[in-house]
Amino acid sequence: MGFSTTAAVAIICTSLLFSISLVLTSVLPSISDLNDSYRLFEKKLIERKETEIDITNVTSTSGTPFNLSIEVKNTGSVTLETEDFTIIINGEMHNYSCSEPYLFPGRLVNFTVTGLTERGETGIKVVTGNGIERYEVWSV
Amino acid sequence: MGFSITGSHLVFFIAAVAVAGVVAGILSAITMNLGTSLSEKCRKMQEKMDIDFKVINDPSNIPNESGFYEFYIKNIGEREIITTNETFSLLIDGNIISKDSYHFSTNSILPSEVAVLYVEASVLTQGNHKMKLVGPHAVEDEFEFEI
Repeated sequence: MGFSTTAAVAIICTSLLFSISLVLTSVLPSISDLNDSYRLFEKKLIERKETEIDITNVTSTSGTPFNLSIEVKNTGSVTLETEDFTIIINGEMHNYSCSEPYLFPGRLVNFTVTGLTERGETGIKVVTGNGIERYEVWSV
Repeated sequence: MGFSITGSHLVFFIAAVAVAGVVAGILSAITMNLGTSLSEKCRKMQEKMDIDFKVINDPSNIPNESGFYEFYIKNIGEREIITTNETFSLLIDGNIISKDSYHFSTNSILPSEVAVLYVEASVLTQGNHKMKLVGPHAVEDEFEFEI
């Protein structure tokens, strides 16, 4: 009887150890990954809250087609990558070139859009990589 | 008599080991099941937190090309988004739009990239509309615009 109890306890303890090791090896890394994602999500939300841009000037070259130079100021506190921006002019997305790879807080960069043909009141929308946008109408 | 005591001890031993084995098996199976479910749930939550997109059009000027209105969908999350009719559902003014009436310019968009969502012009009448785009893991964005 004594040996039977010992054997049963040994089997159950082994099983418990196996279960604990299973939890440690499979669930804990997932929870750790989830925690990393949550931290990233939190960081993303804070970055979005602290991202702000302003269109400070718009100039164009003469003739048709013409180039549009859009001067954008980073009025927030987050450094932005200029290749992640999207520029929409009169509702249509356009390719652009930029003078700098990064737009640091308080600094200005110029985005140049080439091959435009329509002049007059121009709706310009600049969207950052994290989705913060600025829309303004400029006379070109 | 001696044999019967040994025999009953043997029966008790086998019974105890069998019961312990069953309990251990059930415990392991439950733990494995729970572990798999938790890992899967964690993975889905992680994906949901990493996925985010936004409609970035000029709301008063939606481009119309060859019978399709164009909506720009920007990936503002941390993960590639699969852009197909199967992963995205489109609602306009509360009505679900048939999957045959819209398609995307590309099958996936990397973070910061933009995909174009083409919506058949016949789906939209003149006036103001509210679009709801529901993507993978029910991540959604709403966009009000004028045609």
